[in-house]
Amino acid sequence: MSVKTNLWVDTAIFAAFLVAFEPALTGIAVHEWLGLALAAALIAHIVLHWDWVVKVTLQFLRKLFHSSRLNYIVDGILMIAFVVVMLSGILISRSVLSILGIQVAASPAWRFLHSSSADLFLIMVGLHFALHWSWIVNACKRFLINPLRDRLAPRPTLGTLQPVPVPARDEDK
Amino acid sequence: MILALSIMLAFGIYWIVQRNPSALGLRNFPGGFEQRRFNNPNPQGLNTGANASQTGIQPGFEGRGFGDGGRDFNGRSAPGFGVIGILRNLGVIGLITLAVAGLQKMRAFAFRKHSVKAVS
Repeated sequence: MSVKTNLWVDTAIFAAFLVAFEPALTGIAVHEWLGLALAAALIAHIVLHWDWVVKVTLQFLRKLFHSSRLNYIVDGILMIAFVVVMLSGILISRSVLSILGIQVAASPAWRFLHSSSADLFLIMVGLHFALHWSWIVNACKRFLINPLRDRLAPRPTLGTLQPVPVPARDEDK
Repeated sequence: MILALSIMLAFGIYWIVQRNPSALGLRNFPGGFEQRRFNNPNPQGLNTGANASQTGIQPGFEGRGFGDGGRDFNGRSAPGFGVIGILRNLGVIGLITLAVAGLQKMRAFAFRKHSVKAVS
């Protein structure tokens, strides 16, 4: 998968995450359905980076120290936090479960777990960003800033073009 | 530098709106996790809902700002408050990113300096 596709998919996931993380903005029903859609998007994100997951998992078991180890641990905690957020969110759901015809007694413990794991998830997203910061900056420069700069830069017109000196041929001398 | 400025802007707007909701034309700030937790005049740890009939504060989401306090029947507050919440989350993510990425750069700089010294 190309870097450009990855950048757009990740940007869309991040935007959806920010909106889904704020139920005060969307309302509970949209929060729940957007959260479910986000789960599908994150699975797509993992599938797009599956080669990396397999490679680092194998390295993780072989070598004690390597550069991707911290990345792997952060991503693992992020994944666990997300699964807990999703499961507890489904168990305290008001809209999704009622549409599916399932009734679960909403326990305060699930609600506490949902908000706590969401707080953890937010922190881990920050760490995930930090560990991939150079990739983010390079991809943004390459696919957002540089094309924008090229578009905004004034193009040379015929009037501003300088004549290129043509070297004289041997027969002209 | 751009990241640091963005974080300052996000937290600045969040702080202004928390201090003075009318800055965005908003009133009766319903409060999120932090405000309910820390501005509680009678903090008693985790709200179990045992005295819900007296205080009117429900356990779980309802007691922590996800309930109907200041919100419509869908649990949605005024749009400005939602945007402010997004700014707060962006600020938190940005702050962590800045701290960790800054530490990494400092570490890389220190090691590079060290290796140059060793060579010379």
